Amino acid sequence: MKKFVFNNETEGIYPLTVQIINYIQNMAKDIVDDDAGFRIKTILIELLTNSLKHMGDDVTRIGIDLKNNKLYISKQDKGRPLQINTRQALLTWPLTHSKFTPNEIAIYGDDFGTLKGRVKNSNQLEFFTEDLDVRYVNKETIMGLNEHYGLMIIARASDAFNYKHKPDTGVNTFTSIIELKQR
Amino acid sequence: MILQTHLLNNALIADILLKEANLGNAEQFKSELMSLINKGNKYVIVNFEQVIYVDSSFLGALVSALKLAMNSGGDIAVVGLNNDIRSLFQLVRLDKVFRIYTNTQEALTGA
Repeated sequence: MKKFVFNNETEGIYPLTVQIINYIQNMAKDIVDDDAGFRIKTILIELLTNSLKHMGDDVTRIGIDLKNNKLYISKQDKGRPLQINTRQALLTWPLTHSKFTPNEIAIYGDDFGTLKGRVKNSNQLEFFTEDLDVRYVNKETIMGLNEHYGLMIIARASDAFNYKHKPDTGVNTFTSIIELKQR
Repeated sequence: MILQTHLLNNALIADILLKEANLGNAEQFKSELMSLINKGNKYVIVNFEQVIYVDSSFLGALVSALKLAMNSGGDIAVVGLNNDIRSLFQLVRLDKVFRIYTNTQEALTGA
């Protein structure tokens, strides 16, 4: 796995994104098409932005790995564990399964869809979205729009997206997986 | 200053003077855009021509301003999106919410 260090400064987002994309394109040039390129860029920008919001002055490590045409993009830090005030409860770690039925958490959403988390175990959450086909948009739809898109963007741009918290080391890891197709 | 504005026909054109539209400037963008709406501008065309990428914070700010515009009987259109930004709008379904035009002239025709 190749690792990149993010210093958690806004000015570093784009140069690091470009650096990582260049690395991926060199490593997997035959399987990164325009769509995959967009998804990779979007995921990187949102992971780095998420880090800026939650990490302050500390550093964050971005890991890149390619196995069997699956691209793994991970973000690792030792900041606060993921905290989300969901519709059902405030997420605290370790997660307690009994709070959630059926092991799924609605995180946020609007008429177009909901970001959900599936509890894999007490220290792991797998994100996914439930999308709705909205044909008619009126004022009420707009007034109800969600204004927090970060995790939802990563979930939609990924083929799989999860978060793990290691209580013994305090390490938080977000991992996005993209299935690349041979051109 | 993030937005440079000028009136054209019945619309206010607001050019974003940024290359990177991100967490570092989203709040200021929201504040400037809301101020334009609060001054009575009903139809604001936000021009992204100079912007190379947009993050979730900036999109949230844009949505927040749209809600204010709708409550004031106005609207916001966006123009000058590059391919990746347009794809991002589609990813979060904002292409169904904002009127998206290729350029200002096209947006004025739709105004």
